[in-house]
Amino acid sequence: MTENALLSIRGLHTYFFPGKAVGRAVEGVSFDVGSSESIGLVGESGCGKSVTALSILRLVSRPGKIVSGEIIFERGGKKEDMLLLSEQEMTKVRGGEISMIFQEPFTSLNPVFRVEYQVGESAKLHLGIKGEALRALVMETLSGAGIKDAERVADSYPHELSGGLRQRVMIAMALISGPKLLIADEPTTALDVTVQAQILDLLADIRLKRKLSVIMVSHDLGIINRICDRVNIMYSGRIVESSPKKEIFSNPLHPYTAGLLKSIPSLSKIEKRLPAIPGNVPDPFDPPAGCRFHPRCQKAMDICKKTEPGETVVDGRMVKCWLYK
Amino acid sequence: MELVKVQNIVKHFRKQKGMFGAFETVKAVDDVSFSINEGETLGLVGESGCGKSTLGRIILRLLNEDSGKIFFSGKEITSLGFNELKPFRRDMQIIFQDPFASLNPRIKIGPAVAETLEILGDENAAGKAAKMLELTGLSAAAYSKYPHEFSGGQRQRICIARALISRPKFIVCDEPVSSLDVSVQAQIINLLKDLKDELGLTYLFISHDLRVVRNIGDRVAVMKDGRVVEIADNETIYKYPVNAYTKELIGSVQETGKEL
Amino acid sequence: MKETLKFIKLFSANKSALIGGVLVICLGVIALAAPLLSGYAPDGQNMAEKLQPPSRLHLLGTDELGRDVFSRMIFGSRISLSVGFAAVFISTLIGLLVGAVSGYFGGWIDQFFMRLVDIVLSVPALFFILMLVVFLGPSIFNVMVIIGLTTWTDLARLVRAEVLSLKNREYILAARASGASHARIIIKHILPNAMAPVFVSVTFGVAGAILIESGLSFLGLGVQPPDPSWGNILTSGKDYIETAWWLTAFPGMAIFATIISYNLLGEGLRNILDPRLSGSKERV
Repeated sequence: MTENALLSIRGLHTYFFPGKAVGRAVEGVSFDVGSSESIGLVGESGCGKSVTALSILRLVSRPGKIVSGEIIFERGGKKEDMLLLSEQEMTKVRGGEISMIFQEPFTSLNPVFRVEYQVGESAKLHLGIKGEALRALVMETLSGAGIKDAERVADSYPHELSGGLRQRVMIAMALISGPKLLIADEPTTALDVTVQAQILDLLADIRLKRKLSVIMVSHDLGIINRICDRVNIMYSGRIVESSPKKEIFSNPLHPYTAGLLKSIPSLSKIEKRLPAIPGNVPDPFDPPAGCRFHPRCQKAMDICKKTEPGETVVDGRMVKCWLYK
Repeated sequence: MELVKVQNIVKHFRKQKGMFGAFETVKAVDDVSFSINEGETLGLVGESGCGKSTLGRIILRLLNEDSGKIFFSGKEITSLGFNELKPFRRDMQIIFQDPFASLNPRIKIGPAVAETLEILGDENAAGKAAKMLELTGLSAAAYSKYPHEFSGGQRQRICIARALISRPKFIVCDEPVSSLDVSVQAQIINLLKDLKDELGLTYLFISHDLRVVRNIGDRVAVMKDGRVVEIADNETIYKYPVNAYTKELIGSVQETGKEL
Repeated sequence: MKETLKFIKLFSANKSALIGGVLVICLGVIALAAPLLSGYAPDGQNMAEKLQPPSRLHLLGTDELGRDVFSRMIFGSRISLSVGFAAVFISTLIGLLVGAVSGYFGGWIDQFFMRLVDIVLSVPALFFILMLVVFLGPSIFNVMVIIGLTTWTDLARLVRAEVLSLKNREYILAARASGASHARIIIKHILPNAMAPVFVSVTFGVAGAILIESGLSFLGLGVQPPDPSWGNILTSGKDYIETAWWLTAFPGMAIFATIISYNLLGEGLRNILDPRLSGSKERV
């Protein structure tokens, strides 16, 4: 464990139990988030990236369950395992010390309350301010989220706002209590490209200003490139590679990372055939044996089919692949 | 040779605010004209609500236009009725974005793919459907399974097979890869490219993702608020965009290759 | 096949559906096997044995004309059930047609049918039914038709809502792009996906129709004597309620049991078929 890590996750297992089957959504995920560091959690559907994010705040709902692991978070100078906290303590953490923003700004806001009330609610709960002070803080936070006419927006209902504005409101809601860590789960996926670019600019800006730690969950490596310092690539419930951003894009270690990077179409070059990864994303209820990626991997060896690779450290980067053993 | 010609198409929707509120007119498609040559892929790019999907549906006569004309192989099809359109249905098809919503959950894959031929009264519909499934990279065993037994990428292959079964000349691809995982998305783009070469197809490829259109379009049209603001050669539009909005769109793309 | 197996599994795991289903089947078997079970003709009078309390000879006693109540009741169940089913068949047919056409075509057709539904619903149902019966004359056939004609509105609304949510699915558009006719789209693509609420509504509908029939017959406006129906057995029994309790108690209990078993079945089916109500993600 890094000494100055704000959050360290160790051996997190989150499973789903619908009926008799067991879906191993997250299986042995470990990573650290340093203070004011921005971490990307990247992967395709069903890789467990969102479940990992929800597990941190213990928001996984039935039939999902955190089976084992440690989530150590620094609170008031003390390191505490959040999986051992009482539900009452957790409500203080959620929205207070760790905030989360979601993909869908349309359903994440309550349609019957005005923006001011919804944004202010967290500050009322966690900071205990009300009245004029609260309104002033709401306005300040809304402006900080890049909303120019904060007064008008504060008095609006969510349905009166555009998608981009709603996502800015969500960001303001997440930031108002001054959290140390922001978890953003696909925050721009539902938005148009031009709006997406603005929201990413905003997040990058806020991150620096507030010295905020960020966990960015996304399927889009382009977005990760914009925001993150370090990238964790997830596949079938595991982190298969963890590297600094620069290195991961120029010299990916894991064959999956390499395949993923190549299969993204690019503006700068047209290819006759995109180098696609063959096959499909594995089913968490029926994953392949050995290395989870081996059926789709062009470099697969015999050992990959039988035994799962452990962590290997290459130049300070972590990879789980037999090629590096 | 021009296969599809779109002439001054206009489509407005009237939206009422509340039950007694005033009507508000949304100009979904506002005087759009272009043509697509045989064997060409025209990429149609724009953000949500710009009218690109509406336009795609109007071209296939799944929605009625307010005014304007559509020509297919030189014949005007905008004035044709249900029965007169039937022979054209064989020649133009559509692939949708969401492979989970675009297959009827209660109909098996084989009959779903064969439906167009069945409607046309083809006796060998089943046999052709099985062949088409193989052509799109699925096993013949898929024939008697239900949609929920397949993943997103496989379902999109099924939808492609369904669109191709009547050997159409023209296909509207309405965001066909937007809901797929990146690694699977590339497979489907490649498949669409291969099928185009093999069967001599013409595509109208609708997408919000410039990176995808860049890799499949011969020409690109950019749409905003119901209007085509710029239309040009693929290479030209990316290298020398003229319209301010086109420039903004290109500038907004997040790329992994970009140094920040 | 797989779907059927899953349905059976969910059905047998649902207590309400299971109990309701078993009771409904039992009632059906009794009605079908009436001549084998009865022992007496339902209209066989024997004045020497009138108003006998339940005994080994007459399980549920006899009425004022010496007819065996048990025999009358199980023959009556044939009539009650067939009125129930026939009425629901008629109302389902109308409801499906109106709902599907209304939802699918929309526009003025939808406006017309929905205002019709509003009108039918705005007239108190019992009053409406009574008026029609008085007008057309009481008979088993009329009762079936009248109940059918007055109870289709809920289903029509239900089907319309379902069709509205289905008609813009992309597979419907794909079928249209293939040149499928409206009739083909409605019958092949829309209705099979909208059937779950219909099954539930049919089950509740049978219970409702039996209740209306009993009520009408009790008022003398439904099934006419000497044909036995639970409602008219009750009517003739009410004059002897102080001296011969069995004449009213047993038909009352029969009506109660039937209604509750159909309602249990309907409740169970709803939970199995409609994930929005049961909160479960599994759906057949």
